[in-house]
Amino acid sequence: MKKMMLIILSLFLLGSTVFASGQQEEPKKEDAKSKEPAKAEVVSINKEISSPVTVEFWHGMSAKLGETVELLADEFNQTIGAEKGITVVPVFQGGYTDLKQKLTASIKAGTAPVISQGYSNYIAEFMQADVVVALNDYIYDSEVGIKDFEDIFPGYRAENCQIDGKTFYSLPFNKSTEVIFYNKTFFEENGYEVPKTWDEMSALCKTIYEKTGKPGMGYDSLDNYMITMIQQFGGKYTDAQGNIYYSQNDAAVKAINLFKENFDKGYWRIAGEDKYLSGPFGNADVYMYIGSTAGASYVKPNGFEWDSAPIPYVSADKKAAIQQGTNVFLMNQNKSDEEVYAGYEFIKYLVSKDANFIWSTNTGYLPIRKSVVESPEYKKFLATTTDTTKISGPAQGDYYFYEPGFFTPNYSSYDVRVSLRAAVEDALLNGTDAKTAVDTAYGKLK
Amino acid sequence: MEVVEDIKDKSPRHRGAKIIIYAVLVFGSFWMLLPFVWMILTSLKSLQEAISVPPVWFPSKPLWSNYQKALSVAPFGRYFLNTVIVSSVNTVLTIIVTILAAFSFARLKFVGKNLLFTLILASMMVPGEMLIIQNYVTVAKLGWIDSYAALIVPWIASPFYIFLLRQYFMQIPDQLYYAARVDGCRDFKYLWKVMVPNAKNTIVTIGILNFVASWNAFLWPLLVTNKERMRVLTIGLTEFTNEAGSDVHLQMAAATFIILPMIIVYIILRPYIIEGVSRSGIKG
Repeated sequence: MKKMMLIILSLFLLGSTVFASGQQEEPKKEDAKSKEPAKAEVVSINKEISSPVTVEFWHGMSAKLGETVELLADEFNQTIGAEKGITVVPVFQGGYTDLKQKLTASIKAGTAPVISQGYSNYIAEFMQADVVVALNDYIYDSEVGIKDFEDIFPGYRAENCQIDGKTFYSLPFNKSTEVIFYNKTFFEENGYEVPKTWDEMSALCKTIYEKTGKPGMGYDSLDNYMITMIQQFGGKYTDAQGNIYYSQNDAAVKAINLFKENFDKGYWRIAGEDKYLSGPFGNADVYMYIGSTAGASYVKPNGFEWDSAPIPYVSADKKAAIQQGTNVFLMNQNKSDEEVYAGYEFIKYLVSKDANFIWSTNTGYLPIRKSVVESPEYKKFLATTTDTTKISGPAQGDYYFYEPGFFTPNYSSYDVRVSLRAAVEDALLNGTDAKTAVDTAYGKLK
Repeated sequence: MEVVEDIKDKSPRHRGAKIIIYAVLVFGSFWMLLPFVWMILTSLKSLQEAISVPPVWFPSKPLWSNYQKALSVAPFGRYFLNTVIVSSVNTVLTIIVTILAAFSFARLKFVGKNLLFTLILASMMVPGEMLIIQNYVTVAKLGWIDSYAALIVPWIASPFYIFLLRQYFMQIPDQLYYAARVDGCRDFKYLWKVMVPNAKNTIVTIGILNFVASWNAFLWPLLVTNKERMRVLTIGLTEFTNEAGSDVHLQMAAATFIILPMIIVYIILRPYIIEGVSRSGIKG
């Protein structure tokens, strides 16, 4: 008997180890500290490297993505770096939440790296510590500037200078958008067309539901659904200063009602505990889903072919698709001008046509430049891949919008995003009236 | 345990009770084992099978190559070595510090003893997350980033273990101490010859809990290391997830590999764990 108990208790302890090591940290609410936003530092830029410098690039890119970061760093170190005396060392710092925590800690300790990857709300937060470098003096410099800067999609440029519309604090790096993933085989068998508008989407999902008893479409990220649809319904979400507008117009309410009507009838669905619909889609439990282009490699169809298409719109003159993913920025905490310049050379390389071609053809991320999309090399690459998001994603390039990233004493842009998800979930799952759900979510932020 | 041993007579009523007890135990152990078995099964599936709904129990063809793939994602050999070094050294030092501190608080008389002990207990109320950034700043200023010292030293004093062992030490009768003193036994000798052997189970429990905690630690090792050669196994596990999804099958393969040594530790030290746990009144 004793033995039995021993075994059971041992197993219990073991069980807890299994859970502990598999756990992912939940994104924590950003801690709110109030400080006036730092003024853009005026740097008289240094363009010379007197003795070789080594700078670190902190990133959150795992596995294959991390390998590609290493590849790009090697490429840089052997060419531009070798010529100018710069060595870049990429350092993997776990997922984005881990990276953010580590950056926060290192800024406190004065050991922040020169280059890091990060969302715009991280950058907004770090600007309060006065460590983020304004890039205009570099980007527009006659010698070391980025000559073909306008080639980068406007939505990406807008995001990276969102604070005042002209000062750049970061440059776009690993970028994705949302597209429709659909079951091509099923669509062809039934002669369905991929819906272009939301009306067509609702109608098609009704047809699919009546035929199969399964939902026609699912949406991975309800936050993104809300932010996108507020845009498409002609409303305003937030701005870079942290003002919230979504409760002042009826766009959010319309967005929730659209989802709710289709959800209640079983035409649309939401993701389960695993957060992503690529699983159910692969098993043909749902015939379309809207999700990140970065997730294309997780689509594993079980006996059918898939394809992708741009997301639907409410009206053709107000098309909008979210551009997401992180940017790269520079910090000058306890760093010399030469080190900062070295960092600039590397991020300039990352957004260059060459590097962006390597990045967007080796990973699930999308080109950030029109010239990459239009290049013969990219067209050649498209012929070799089954990942059609490489076409449908950039097809939305002209109407990308970005989610403003900010950090105020009371809430960050992340909290606002979460509040909207709470609102739509409240309406879908608890049957709360859309207007009440929006007002409740908004009220909690204040 | 006592309940079961008391059932000596073989009357049907008692036999019935025994059956129920066994049934509960079997049921409990099944649930305890489930995540573990699931982990191993998932580690042999394809991604498609791993994420399918409804779940597939058994892989159609066990993919042993998942292990090879998972282990090639990061330098797991080096991570493994680091984890073993950090967890072992940390555990030995923790035990030494805990024994000395617990003995002082349980037996010795000195000024401010109660105040000091209260402070130590009070520090248990502060969540670790709040201290982590400050600790990082300290370690960074000491120039310890990317060193074993940073991974080990901040964790060798644990208020909880000190409290636990002190409580146990206090149960050992004073008479024993005075008798030893009369026989010319000094404090230190008394500690090693009498207290420590008596508290063996509790100390082993502390060691195991600490070893497991150290083995599973993630955030701190990530914070204080930048160089791959200083990193530990748990950091390797983050390689399988990104913003758009995760390779659960590979992650489970790596997790199985990481947990293996823990299983061996449990099997070897099983008797101590159970006694230590049941005596000191802590569970799980």
